[in-house]
Amino acid sequence: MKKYLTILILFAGLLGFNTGIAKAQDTSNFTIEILSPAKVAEYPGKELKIKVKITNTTDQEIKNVFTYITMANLSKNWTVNLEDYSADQPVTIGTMKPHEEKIVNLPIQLVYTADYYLYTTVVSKENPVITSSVAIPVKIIGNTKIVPLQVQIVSTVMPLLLLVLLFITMKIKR
Amino acid sequence: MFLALVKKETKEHIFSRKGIGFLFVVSLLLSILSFSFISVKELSLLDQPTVVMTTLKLLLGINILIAMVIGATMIAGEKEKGTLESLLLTPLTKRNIILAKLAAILIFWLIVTLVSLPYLFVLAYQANLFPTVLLYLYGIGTILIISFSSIALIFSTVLVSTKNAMILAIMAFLITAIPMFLSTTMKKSGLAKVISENSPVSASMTAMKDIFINKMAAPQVLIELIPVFIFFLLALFFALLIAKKVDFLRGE
Repeated sequence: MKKYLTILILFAGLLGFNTGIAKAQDTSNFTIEILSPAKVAEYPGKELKIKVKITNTTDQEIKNVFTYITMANLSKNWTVNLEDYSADQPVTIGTMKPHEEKIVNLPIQLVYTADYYLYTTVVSKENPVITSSVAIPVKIIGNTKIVPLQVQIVSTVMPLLLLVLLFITMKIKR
Repeated sequence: MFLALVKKETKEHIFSRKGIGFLFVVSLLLSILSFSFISVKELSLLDQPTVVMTTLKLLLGINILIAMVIGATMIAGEKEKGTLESLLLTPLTKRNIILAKLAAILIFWLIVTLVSLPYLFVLAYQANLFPTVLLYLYGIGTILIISFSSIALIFSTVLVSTKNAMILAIMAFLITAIPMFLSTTMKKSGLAKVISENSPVSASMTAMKDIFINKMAAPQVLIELIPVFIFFLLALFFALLIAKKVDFLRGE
């Protein structure tokens, strides 16, 4: 009986310990919201500013705060390398006072044609709980008018012409 | 006499196996790149201005390199072959010799652009970009080619060995092109930041982006191009100044 009780107490203790960690991970110090745009449907090359509102929801000052963009490619089910989109740099916010709100503009340039979800994340070095916003849909519309046949013809004919010219020159030299 | 020298240089460096070989390599690279734009899925998703910009970057990069190689061999090559003596005995001034060699490189550049025009035309098709492409190519492109060729000619004049002149010329180009190989994070600090802010290559790339993507107005683009113009004037000035050093080898 004593043995069972000990096991029960140990389990209860472990459960309590685990719940504690889970609780700590659930607690976010921020709220983050994309104010504008609500959705994007633009051609590649367009530069946008994503306006984000970040709020410190705690009663304490939070240091070393920064925010950044993430994009998920819904057409290919992968995240995007934002260096191509000139959006790989986080924006440093610094210190946020208790219940302080900050509005930040995150720049991004649209590049590859596809459907995406764009969301923003706020991070503080002091807390491992990461907070992300609700995503906005981004559609980068394809607008290429390149005719593949034209490209194929030029890409084949030009080197061939020069190769023939090279052979003629070599023959003349001999 | 000036024209005769330009003709001789053109024949030697452009309408030769070496020159046509260079043209063939440029054309082959452009073909591979253009073909990738229609066959590689990721690249086929790019918009036309980015496609044109990528092609222009490749074209400029390769041609600056080729122009520097040709420029580096021009004077040092004459010294090595022992033909500089006969060249100096002509009524041409040393400055005119340098200018004739620069003119030959410029003719090579014009021929390369003629080879590349069909590619640029099909890649910019119906996107209303072709006039801008021509303006960039023959405006900024030509300025960059003259500037880097002048640098190569300076090394070629000062150094005796073609090999050394070529290595130094390529190194000079690579230093100015460093920002192109670095990530945005690295470009924001240290020496990379200094080079990135002052390099004519960086300035021309930024201007290219602002012309084709951001559709910025001409005055703003011209301000961005200031490092390119300064580099052009300095390179040309020093190339003409150093022309005095075009001389026989010791003991010749």
